[in-house]
Amino acid sequence: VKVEYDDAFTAFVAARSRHLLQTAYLLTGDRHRAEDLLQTALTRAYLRWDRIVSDDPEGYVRRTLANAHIDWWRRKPWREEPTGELPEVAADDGATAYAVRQSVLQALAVLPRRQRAVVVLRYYEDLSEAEIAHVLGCSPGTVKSAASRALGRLREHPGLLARSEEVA
Amino acid sequence: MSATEDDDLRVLLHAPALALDPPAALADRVRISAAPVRRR
Repeated sequence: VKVEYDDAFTAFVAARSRHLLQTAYLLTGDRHRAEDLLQTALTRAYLRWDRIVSDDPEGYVRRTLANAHIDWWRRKPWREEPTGELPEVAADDGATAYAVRQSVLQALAVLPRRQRAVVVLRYYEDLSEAEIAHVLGCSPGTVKSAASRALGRLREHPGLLARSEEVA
Repeated sequence: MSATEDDDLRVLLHAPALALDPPAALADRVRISAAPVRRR
């Protein structure tokens, strides 16, 4: 990696890693896994940096985050089940923040990974169905049906959407 | 899902309570993890 590309990579990480770490956190529900996932995605990006820097490096990292997360799950025999893993939540930033974090992460934990990725890409990354289909390598119809199923499950999660009023 | 529910979900996923500080020196960590691959 040439020096100018290296500097650009450092600047990219400084500018975008907080946002991308939140993407990874929403995908995994676990801080340590999120950090591992982001580092994996950034490492892949760094190794191709001269080819992706002038195109869409954030899109590359986002695509890697989503697919690495889903691919890991595909290797598991119970892959179509929701994670069922309750998130680790810290209670050091106030009761309201704790309640919001717990509600969101526990609701997302009910979703199978592809549905969870669709929700994160749609509502956190603000991608269109067509863009999500491109990221996940599937059809827009698949995204639409995954989103519909996911949102149906989230709607059933008690009190989740009402929590939006508590978000500062 | 209604437009209001869409907005609620968007607000929730952007909640500051879900933001994390990236690890220190993340770019350097990435370079270190990439080094064995680059040497091949």
